[in-house]
Amino acid sequence: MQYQTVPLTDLTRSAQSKNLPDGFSDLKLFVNEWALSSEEERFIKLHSVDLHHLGIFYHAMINRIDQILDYLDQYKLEELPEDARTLFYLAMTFSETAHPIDLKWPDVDFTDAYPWQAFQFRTVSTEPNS
Amino acid sequence: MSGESITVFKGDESRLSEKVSIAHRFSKEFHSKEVELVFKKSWLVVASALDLPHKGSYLVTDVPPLKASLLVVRGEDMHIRVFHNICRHRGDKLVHQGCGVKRSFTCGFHAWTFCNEGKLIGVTDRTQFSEIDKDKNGLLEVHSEVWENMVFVNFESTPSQSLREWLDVMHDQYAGFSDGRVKIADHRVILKTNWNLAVNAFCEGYHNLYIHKNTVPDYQGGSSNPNRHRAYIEVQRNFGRYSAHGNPNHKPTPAQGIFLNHSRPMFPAFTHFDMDKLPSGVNPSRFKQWAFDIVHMVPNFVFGPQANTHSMMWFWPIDHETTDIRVQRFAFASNKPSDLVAQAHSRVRGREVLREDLATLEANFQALRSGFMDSIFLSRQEMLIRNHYRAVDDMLSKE
Repeated sequence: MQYQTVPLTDLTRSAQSKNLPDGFSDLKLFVNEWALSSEEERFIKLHSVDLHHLGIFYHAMINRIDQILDYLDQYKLEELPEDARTLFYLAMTFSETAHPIDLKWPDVDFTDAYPWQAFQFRTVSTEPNS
Repeated sequence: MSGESITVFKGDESRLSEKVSIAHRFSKEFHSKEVELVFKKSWLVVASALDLPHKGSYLVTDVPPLKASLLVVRGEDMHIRVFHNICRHRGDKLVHQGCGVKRSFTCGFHAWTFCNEGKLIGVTDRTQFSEIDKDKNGLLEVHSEVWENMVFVNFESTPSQSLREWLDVMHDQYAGFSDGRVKIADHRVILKTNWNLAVNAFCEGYHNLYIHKNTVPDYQGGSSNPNRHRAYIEVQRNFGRYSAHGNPNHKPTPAQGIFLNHSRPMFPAFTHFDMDKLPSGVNPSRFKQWAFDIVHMVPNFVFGPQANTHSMMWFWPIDHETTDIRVQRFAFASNKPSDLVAQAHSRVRGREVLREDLATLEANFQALRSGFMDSIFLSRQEMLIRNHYRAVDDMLSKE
């Protein structure tokens, strides 16, 4: 089919900074792996780890997510400084990978689900300057 | 009490059948008739106008049963038009990319140029053609209308009904329901199944108690409605719709609970909706513990209005045994970071629920296409599916 598959991004810029704002440096060890800028990347990431590995990220984030959201909401989305943007991507990845543990699945995926590899991701319109 | 239905039924139930003959619907020949008599004669949704916010915003999409590629574009005059995505010179595909913003479109083959209102504005090396009337050789336009941010097309040379006639009582009942929203998810999956079975699976709530255990175990019904009957079901000539009962005792998962404190409640949490702000077609019976509606628009489109989000779903036949399923989700535009994080949670839960729905469709098709069982049973809770077959068969009978 002639359908164009375009990478789905939440913002036009991906994570540029490896740094996190003051007060969140304990999460820095997760940045390389989990500060992901698109739903598609997060979906692939989720299906490339095991439940134990996911759990380490989940448990670190679930205790901090309330503070993270309060911190991020000081800014408008399009005005997030680079380090806060990286923190935003960590929060987005947490939001999109929390469900296997939240729902007490025995694995990162569940039986009787249509194969995740079949999904094609297309554009979304949440770019602030679109 | 638990065996009783809470459902309020409305609409025209004449000629609806509890038993519907199905096996004959899966042949190539039958599908050719569906294309000619159903898809070429219906108003079809092809895009969301929310994807076209600016002058010159365009997107390319396709209508698989008609093998048509369409260019949907908002012109300089802010009107949305739909064109066949074909250069008038030698018929090359005019626009290859998915979407963007442009004043004009230049064909890659010999550089003929069309403005974003469809007019031919540039012919290269023009002296080598004897005569080309630019006014008569703009892009081929398809009849289109925009209703509540949904772009409809009709491929008849002259539509036998206006969109207003087609939508009937729905037409004035959804004013503004999608305003201020943006697309937050856009997924596509191609399945080996028949399109009728695919659209049927998204038109009833009977299955959710059994299929959606892994993803949304307690989102509907609750102790007063253990069979999760629909609160409201309405069937009309070209559409059917239902309202779902949100479980008042739904327990948010740990992460979801935190997001709910920071943003608007969204699927799968259905609390604190201000119903006064909803147009009359959304939750038509004003059911107090309302969760969401499902609206099936004949033949192949479903939209799901919720208070703070909505979905659009297409079930396009590529052929009699292959279906192209597209799902888009929308939520209120926001530049508050926590809103996006909460919306992301909702879109992913919706995506996983969708994966449970999709998992039924290929096996269902394999079993039925054997042809050994002719008919299927449809309960009163599956009234929208009865309506689908009544509507499709009515169109097929107008040969």
